[in-house]
Amino acid sequence: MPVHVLDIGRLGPVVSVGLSVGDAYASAGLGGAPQSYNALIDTGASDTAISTAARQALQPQRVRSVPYLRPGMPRVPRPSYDIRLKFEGHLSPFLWFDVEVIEVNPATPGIDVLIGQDLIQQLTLLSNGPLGKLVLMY
Amino acid sequence: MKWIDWRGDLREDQAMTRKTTGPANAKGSNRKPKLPPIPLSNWRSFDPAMLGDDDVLKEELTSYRDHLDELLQHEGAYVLIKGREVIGIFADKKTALQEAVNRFRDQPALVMQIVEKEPFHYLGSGTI
Repeated sequence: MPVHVLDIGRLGPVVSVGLSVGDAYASAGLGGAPQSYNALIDTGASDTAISTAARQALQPQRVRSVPYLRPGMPRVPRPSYDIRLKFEGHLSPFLWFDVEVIEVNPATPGIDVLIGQDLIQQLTLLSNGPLGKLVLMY
Repeated sequence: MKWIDWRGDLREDQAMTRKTTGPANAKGSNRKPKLPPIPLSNWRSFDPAMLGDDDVLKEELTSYRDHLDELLQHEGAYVLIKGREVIGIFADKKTALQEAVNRFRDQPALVMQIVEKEPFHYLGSGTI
Protein backbone atom coordinates (compact mmCIF):
# COMPACT_ATOMS: atom_id res chain seq x y z
CA MET A 1 0.00 0.00 0.00
CA PRO A 2 1.63 3.30 -1.08
CA VAL A 3 1.91 5.82 1.74
CA HIS A 4 2.77 9.48 1.14
CA VAL A 5 3.49 11.94 3.96
CA LEU A 6 2.75 15.51 2.93
CA ASP A 7 3.70 18.72 4.68
CA ILE A 8 0.76 20.97 5.46
CA GLY A 9 2.15 24.42 4.81
CA ARG A 10 0.48 27.80 4.59
CA LEU A 11 -1.12 26.81 1.28
CA GLY A 12 -2.45 23.52 2.65
CA PRO A 13 -1.37 19.98 1.80
CA VAL A 14 0.61 20.20 -1.43
CA VAL A 15 1.96 17.19 -3.33
CA SER A 16 3.73 16.72 -6.63
CA VAL A 17 1.63 14.79 -9.12
CA GLY A 18 2.28 13.42 -12.55
CA LEU A 19 -0.33 14.02 -15.26
CA SER A 20 -0.70 11.99 -18.43
CA VAL A 21 -3.32 11.69 -21.12
CA GLY A 22 -5.95 8.99 -20.56
CA ASP A 23 -5.64 5.39 -21.71
CA ALA A 24 -7.38 5.88 -25.06
CA TYR A 25 -5.12 8.75 -26.08
CA ALA A 26 -1.98 7.10 -24.67
CA SER A 27 -2.57 3.87 -26.60
CA ALA A 28 -2.99 5.89 -29.82
CA GLY A 29 0.09 8.03 -29.19
CA LEU A 30 -2.00 11.20 -28.98
CA GLY A 31 -1.59 14.23 -26.74
CA GLY A 32 1.45 15.67 -25.01
CA ALA A 33 4.07 14.02 -22.86
CA PRO A 34 3.47 13.32 -19.15
CA GLN A 35 4.50 16.15 -16.86
CA SER A 36 4.63 16.93 -13.15
CA TYR A 37 2.78 19.70 -11.33
CA ASN A 38 2.04 20.88 -7.81
CA ALA A 39 -1.36 19.75 -6.55
CA LEU A 40 -3.38 20.89 -3.58
CA ILE A 41 -5.57 18.42 -1.69
CA ASP A 42 -8.87 20.31 -1.75
CA THR A 43 -11.55 18.66 0.33
CA GLY A 44 -13.96 21.45 -0.61
CA ALA A 45 -13.90 20.58 -4.30
CA SER A 46 -16.28 18.03 -5.75
CA ASP A 47 -13.94 17.24 -8.62
CA THR A 48 -10.30 17.26 -9.56
CA ALA A 49 -9.29 20.24 -11.67
CA ILE A 50 -6.29 21.26 -13.75
CA SER A 51 -5.16 24.68 -14.88
CA THR A 52 -5.42 25.91 -18.45
CA ALA A 53 -1.62 25.83 -18.69
CA ALA A 54 -1.51 22.16 -17.69
CA ARG A 55 -4.30 21.31 -20.12
CA GLN A 56 -2.53 23.09 -22.96
CA ALA A 57 0.71 21.22 -22.28
CA LEU A 58 -0.98 17.83 -21.89
CA GLN A 59 -3.48 18.14 -24.79
CA PRO A 60 -5.75 15.45 -23.29
CA GLN A 61 -8.92 13.98 -24.78
CA ARG A 62 -11.92 16.27 -24.37
CA VAL A 63 -14.83 14.40 -22.80
CA ARG A 64 -17.71 16.80 -22.33
CA SER A 65 -18.79 19.94 -20.46
CA VAL A 66 -19.91 19.77 -16.86
CA PRO A 67 -22.35 22.05 -15.07
CA TYR A 68 -20.14 24.13 -12.82
CA LEU A 69 -21.18 26.15 -9.82
CA ARG A 70 -19.17 28.78 -8.04
CA PRO A 71 -20.92 30.88 -5.40
CA GLY A 72 -21.74 34.34 -6.63
CA MET A 73 -20.73 33.56 -10.20
CA PRO A 74 -22.85 32.72 -13.25
CA ARG A 75 -23.44 29.03 -13.85
CA VAL A 76 -21.48 28.13 -16.92
CA PRO A 77 -20.44 24.73 -18.26
CA ARG A 78 -16.74 23.98 -17.99
CA PRO A 79 -14.81 21.61 -20.26
CA SER A 80 -13.68 18.26 -18.86
CA TYR A 81 -10.88 15.98 -20.01
CA ASP A 82 -9.81 12.36 -19.62
CA ILE A 83 -6.43 12.11 -17.90
CA ARG A 84 -4.38 9.90 -15.58
CA LEU A 85 -2.77 11.17 -12.38
CA LYS A 86 -0.21 9.71 -10.02
CA PHE A 87 1.41 10.94 -6.84
CA GLU A 88 5.05 12.02 -6.46
CA GLY A 89 5.41 13.06 -10.10
CA HIS A 90 5.12 11.39 -13.49
CA LEU A 91 8.38 9.43 -13.09
CA SER A 92 7.41 7.90 -9.74
CA PRO A 93 6.72 4.15 -9.53
CA PHE A 94 3.19 4.59 -8.18
CA LEU A 95 -0.05 3.66 -9.93
CA TRP A 96 -1.99 5.90 -12.26
CA PHE A 97 -5.50 6.98 -11.31
CA ASP A 98 -7.98 7.47 -14.15
CA VAL A 99 -9.81 10.72 -13.61
CA GLU A 100 -12.02 13.13 -15.55
CA VAL A 101 -10.82 16.63 -14.70
CA ILE A 102 -12.40 20.03 -15.10
CA GLU A 103 -10.34 22.84 -16.60
CA VAL A 104 -10.37 25.64 -14.04
CA ASN A 105 -7.48 27.78 -12.86
CA PRO A 106 -6.67 27.33 -9.15
CA ALA A 107 -6.38 30.59 -7.23
CA THR A 108 -3.34 29.43 -5.24
CA PRO A 109 -0.04 30.57 -6.77
CA GLY A 110 2.13 27.74 -8.09
CA ILE A 111 -0.71 25.22 -7.96
CA ASP A 112 -1.90 23.70 -11.25
CA VAL A 113 -4.00 20.84 -9.90
CA LEU A 114 -6.77 20.64 -7.30
CA ILE A 115 -7.40 17.13 -6.03
CA GLY A 116 -11.13 16.94 -5.33
CA GLN A 117 -13.56 14.51 -3.79
CA ASP A 118 -13.77 12.28 -6.85
CA LEU A 119 -10.16 11.24 -6.19
CA ILE A 120 -10.09 11.76 -2.43
CA GLN A 121 -12.82 9.14 -2.10
CA GLN A 122 -10.31 6.57 -3.34
CA LEU A 123 -7.74 7.56 -0.69
CA THR A 124 -7.31 7.34 3.06
CA LEU A 125 -6.22 10.66 4.57
CA LEU A 126 -4.91 11.09 8.12
CA SER A 127 -4.23 14.65 9.19
CA ASN A 128 -1.98 15.69 12.07
CA GLY A 129 -2.41 19.43 12.33
CA PRO A 130 0.01 20.06 15.26
CA LEU A 131 2.76 18.23 13.36
CA GLY A 132 1.76 19.82 10.05
CA LYS A 133 1.55 16.46 8.29
CA LEU A 134 -1.03 14.75 6.11
CA VAL A 135 -0.67 11.02 5.49
CA LEU A 136 -2.17 9.82 2.24
CA MET A 137 -2.69 6.09 1.56
CA TYR A 138 -4.40 3.94 -1.06
CA MET B 1 -35.27 16.15 -5.57
CA LYS B 2 -35.17 19.87 -6.11
CA TRP B 3 -33.44 21.17 -9.21
CA ILE B 4 -32.63 24.54 -10.64
CA ASP B 5 -32.29 25.45 -14.28
CA TRP B 6 -28.94 26.32 -15.80
CA ARG B 7 -30.07 29.90 -15.73
CA GLY B 8 -31.49 29.62 -12.22
CA ASP B 9 -31.80 32.72 -10.13
CA LEU B 10 -28.57 33.31 -8.23
CA ARG B 11 -30.48 34.89 -5.39
CA GLU B 12 -31.79 31.46 -4.53
CA ASP B 13 -28.20 30.30 -3.86
CA GLN B 14 -27.46 33.30 -1.75
CA ALA B 15 -30.58 32.71 0.27
CA MET B 16 -29.50 29.11 0.88
CA THR B 17 -26.06 30.29 1.94
CA ARG B 18 -27.48 32.76 4.41
CA LYS B 19 -29.71 30.11 5.89
CA THR B 20 -26.87 27.68 6.48
CA THR B 21 -24.20 30.05 7.69
CA GLY B 22 -26.24 31.40 10.55
CA PRO B 23 -25.46 30.29 14.11
CA ALA B 24 -26.24 26.61 14.53
CA ASN B 25 -26.86 26.88 18.24
CA ALA B 26 -28.64 30.19 18.36
CA LYS B 27 -31.18 28.86 20.84
CA GLY B 28 -28.79 26.58 22.63
CA SER B 29 -29.85 23.50 20.68
CA ASN B 30 -27.27 20.86 19.83
CA ARG B 31 -28.51 20.03 16.36
CA LYS B 32 -26.22 20.15 13.34
CA PRO B 33 -26.78 22.93 10.83
CA LYS B 34 -28.67 21.67 7.82
CA LEU B 35 -26.84 21.64 4.52
CA PRO B 36 -28.78 22.76 1.46
CA PRO B 37 -29.25 20.18 -1.26
CA ILE B 38 -26.75 20.44 -4.10
CA PRO B 39 -28.72 21.94 -6.97
CA LEU B 40 -29.19 19.86 -10.09
CA SER B 41 -28.77 21.05 -13.62
CA ASN B 42 -31.29 19.91 -16.18
CA TRP B 43 -29.87 19.10 -19.58
CA ARG B 44 -33.25 19.86 -21.17
CA SER B 45 -32.63 23.51 -20.42
CA PHE B 46 -29.09 23.54 -21.78
CA ASP B 47 -28.45 26.63 -23.88
CA PRO B 48 -25.42 26.58 -26.21
CA ALA B 49 -25.13 30.36 -25.80
CA MET B 50 -23.71 29.64 -22.34
CA LEU B 51 -20.61 28.11 -23.89
CA GLY B 52 -17.72 30.17 -25.15
CA ASP B 53 -17.61 30.89 -28.88
CA ASP B 54 -14.60 28.62 -29.22
CA ASP B 55 -16.10 25.63 -27.41
CA VAL B 56 -15.54 22.68 -29.72
CA LEU B 57 -18.44 20.62 -28.34
CA LYS B 58 -21.20 23.19 -28.72
CA GLU B 59 -22.91 21.29 -31.53
CA GLU B 60 -22.56 17.92 -29.79
CA LEU B 61 -24.01 19.19 -26.51
CA THR B 62 -26.92 20.71 -28.37
CA SER B 63 -27.47 17.35 -30.09
CA TYR B 64 -27.44 15.65 -26.70
CA ARG B 65 -30.18 17.99 -25.49
CA ASP B 66 -32.22 17.51 -28.66
CA HIS B 67 -31.96 13.69 -28.54
CA LEU B 68 -32.50 13.42 -24.81
CA ASP B 69 -35.89 11.68 -24.93
CA GLU B 70 -34.61 8.80 -27.04
CA LEU B 71 -31.26 8.65 -25.21
CA LEU B 72 -32.99 8.31 -21.85
CA GLN B 73 -34.16 4.85 -22.92
CA HIS B 74 -30.50 3.96 -22.17
CA GLU B 75 -30.18 6.01 -18.99
CA GLY B 76 -26.89 5.39 -17.18
CA ALA B 77 -25.06 4.20 -20.30
CA TYR B 78 -22.57 6.37 -22.20
CA VAL B 79 -23.28 8.05 -25.51
CA LEU B 80 -20.78 9.11 -28.15
CA ILE B 81 -21.89 12.06 -30.30
CA LYS B 82 -20.04 13.74 -33.16
CA GLY B 83 -21.63 16.82 -34.65
CA ARG B 84 -25.36 16.15 -34.90
CA GLU B 85 -24.93 12.37 -35.13
CA VAL B 86 -25.32 9.90 -32.29
CA ILE B 87 -22.49 7.47 -33.06
CA GLY B 88 -23.27 4.85 -30.44
CA ILE B 89 -24.23 3.93 -26.92
CA PHE B 90 -21.82 2.05 -24.68
CA ALA B 91 -22.07 0.28 -21.35
CA ASP B 92 -19.00 1.99 -19.91
CA LYS B 93 -17.10 5.22 -20.34
CA LYS B 94 -13.77 3.63 -21.16
CA THR B 95 -15.19 1.87 -24.23
CA ALA B 96 -16.88 5.07 -25.39
CA LEU B 97 -13.65 7.07 -25.07
CA GLN B 98 -11.74 4.39 -26.96
CA GLU B 99 -14.34 4.36 -29.75
CA ALA B 100 -14.06 8.15 -30.01
CA VAL B 101 -10.31 7.84 -30.54
CA ASN B 102 -10.68 4.93 -32.98
CA ARG B 103 -13.09 6.91 -35.15
CA PHE B 104 -11.99 10.50 -34.77
CA ARG B 105 -8.42 10.39 -33.42
CA ASP B 106 -7.85 13.75 -31.71
CA GLN B 107 -10.92 15.44 -33.20
CA PRO B 108 -13.30 16.37 -30.36
CA ALA B 109 -16.36 14.22 -29.77
CA LEU B 110 -18.78 14.17 -26.87
CA VAL B 111 -18.74 11.25 -24.42
CA MET B 112 -21.39 11.57 -21.78
CA GLN B 113 -23.30 9.44 -19.31
CA ILE B 114 -26.95 9.60 -20.23
CA VAL B 115 -28.85 11.51 -17.57
CA GLU B 116 -31.52 14.16 -17.61
CA LYS B 117 -30.35 15.96 -14.48
CA GLU B 118 -27.05 15.96 -12.65
CA PRO B 119 -25.62 17.79 -9.64
CA PHE B 120 -23.61 20.92 -10.26
CA HIS B 121 -19.88 20.44 -9.83
CA TYR B 122 -18.25 22.89 -7.45
CA LEU B 123 -14.67 23.82 -6.67
CA GLY B 124 -15.33 26.31 -3.91
CA SER B 125 -13.52 29.63 -3.92
CA GLY B 126 -10.10 28.15 -4.60
CA THR B 127 -10.37 28.92 -8.29
CA ILE B 128 -10.30 31.97 -10.50
